[in-house]
Amino acid sequence: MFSAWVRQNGNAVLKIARAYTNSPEDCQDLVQEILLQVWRSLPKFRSEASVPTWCYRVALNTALTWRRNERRRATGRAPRIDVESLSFAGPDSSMQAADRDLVERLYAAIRTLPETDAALVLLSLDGLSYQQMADVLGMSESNVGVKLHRARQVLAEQMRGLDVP
Amino acid sequence: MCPDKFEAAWQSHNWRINPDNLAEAMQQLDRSFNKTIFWRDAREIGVSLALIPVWISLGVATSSPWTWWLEIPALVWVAGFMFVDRRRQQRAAPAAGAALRVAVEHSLSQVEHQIWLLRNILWWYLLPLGIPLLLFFVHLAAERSDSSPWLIVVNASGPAVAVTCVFGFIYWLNQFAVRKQLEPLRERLQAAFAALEEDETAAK
Repeated sequence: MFSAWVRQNGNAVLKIARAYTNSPEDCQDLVQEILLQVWRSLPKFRSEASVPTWCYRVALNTALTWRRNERRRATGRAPRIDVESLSFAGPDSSMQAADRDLVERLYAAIRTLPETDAALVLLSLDGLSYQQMADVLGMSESNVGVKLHRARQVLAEQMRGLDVP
Repeated sequence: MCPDKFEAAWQSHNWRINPDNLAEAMQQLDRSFNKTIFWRDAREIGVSLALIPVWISLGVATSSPWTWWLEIPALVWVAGFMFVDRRRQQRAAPAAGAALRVAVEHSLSQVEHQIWLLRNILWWYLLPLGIPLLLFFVHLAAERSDSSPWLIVVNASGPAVAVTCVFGFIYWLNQFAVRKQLEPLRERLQAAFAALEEDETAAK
């Protein structure tokens, strides 16, 4: 079950970890921390009705706690989880390069957002519905709508500042 | 903002966790548990061994009766027991690159062993240390009470109650640790182990 969980949700975990960290080493540490949290929460996981919601909750809660404790955290933990970047699913190589560039800019812009806004944008980009986002973040759907609208505006401004075509 | 464009680009890029070192990373839990146990054992063994010369010098300095010296084999027993127990547990440790299921199984057996150890602390720690101490106080009370049974009881009861309270508190503390830390950890590991067993069955 754990291996299956990692296979199914690893991509979402890694995107969240990248968005909340500034270096590949920190990203690996955060991925590891999220996996440890999943590991520790396995009994609860088995009784959860919605697996994707639970996955996002664990990953986001761990990322937020991780970021809050960033200053106090000791460095140099080992071993780290290896993270592999798979190829972009674009029609041709020039499109892939453009997408890669756009995604990197998105990560940079998301990192500048407040924690909750960053979470909303991440979930939105992953294609979650308002109801799913509300479940993950423990908000009402209307609140998600309002906050996401505001967060998107800030993100758009950030992206313009990063010279997005 | 162009949400569709952003979402399309975002969803077209994928990451994957390399499963090769997942087991090793998950063993961190095991390592942190081992570290805690190591320092507890080192502390207990160290204190027991350090107490031996202190006990001898106090016994010589105060010309204590023979029951005073019974505590020394008890201290040697506690230090020896913990040392041997530790060595036995270390021998059973899996290799660093062992599969996740093996690592979890090992963690589970370690946690179960610690639960057993703390559940039985009365027999290997509290009674071996407590009985010589109580005998010493009774002996001391007998020497000072002119062989009057009532006076022996009265003189020995104060220190005996104090020793019982201290040892009772140590017992409670250890059972508390079992209930609050070790049993929940065992439950998590059992669930994880069962899940990994399911994985293995599904893979076959």
